[in-house]
Amino acid sequence: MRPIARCPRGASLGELLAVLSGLGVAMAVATGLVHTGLRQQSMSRQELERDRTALRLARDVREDVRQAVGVAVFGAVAAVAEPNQAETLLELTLPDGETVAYQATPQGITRVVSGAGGRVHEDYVFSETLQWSASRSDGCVVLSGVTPARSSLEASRQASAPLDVTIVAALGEDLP
Amino acid sequence: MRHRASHAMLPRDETRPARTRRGLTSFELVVAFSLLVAAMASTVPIYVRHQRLLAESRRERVAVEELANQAERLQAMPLGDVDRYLASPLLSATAQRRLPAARLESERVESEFGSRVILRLFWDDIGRREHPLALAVWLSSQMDDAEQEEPPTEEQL
Repeated sequence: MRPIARCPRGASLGELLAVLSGLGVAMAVATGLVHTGLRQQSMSRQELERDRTALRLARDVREDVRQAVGVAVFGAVAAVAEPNQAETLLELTLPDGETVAYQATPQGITRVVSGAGGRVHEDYVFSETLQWSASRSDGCVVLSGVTPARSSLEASRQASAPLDVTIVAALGEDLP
Repeated sequence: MRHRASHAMLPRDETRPARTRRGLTSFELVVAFSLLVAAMASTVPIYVRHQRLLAESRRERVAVEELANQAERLQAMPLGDVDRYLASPLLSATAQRRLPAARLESERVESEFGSRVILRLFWDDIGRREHPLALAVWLSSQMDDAEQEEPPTEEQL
């Protein structure tokens, strides 16, 4: 008569430890992957938004400068930090008498159209505060925004690459 | 008779109870972990590829901006200076910094509709060494027209 085989009804401590360690490693790797994925998704969206904003700003600046019959350039503006502060960089007079001002704000650039119909604001919001400047040379207006110099620690915290926006707009033929 | 004989050879249930599975073997666990690790490892190249695509799109944006700015400069330039500028076009500091081994080439083409300049921007990126980003700029014919116009006669005045 053969003895009855022993049927294990539980796990040993070693087996439990091995399984828990394996699960821990798997969960740590999975968490890292999810975190990386979310970070990359956020960074991509941020970059896409700022690219679209930069392109929109470039299109509007070029269109306004081409139409302008009067141009006033106010030079460089340090990075605007106060929430409600706005520094005018560029003021253009359009043929119909309206004026278009491009102002540097902590969020980016605000385009203010003033005319008989009142004032209309349009914002170009960037995810970081830029240092803006405007200049006029060789029949062109140059509007540029650069990321202020930051420490290596700040740079490592910032997920996306520093932003440089340079917009060259040819002055129109209507300009005296 | 035969049936009875074969039945007699089988082990009796009382001496050997049926085995019931109440958990996983170590081998099954190892296989499950291996599959999990393989699945996670396969996602890593996706992240790397995504990073590369992001960097490429960033460089494309810089290149598009650079060409648009060059086009604006050309349009604002007197026609007499265009050829001199096209002989050695200058890239902006941003383009030089952000586009690896960037090089700008230009070609002026005369046609029946006027003069146009084709700007081609090369940089060290996959596909951009052989297929540069190109932008055609039509030059203003105002100066040519002004030169061709005859001065008004006394009768016209």
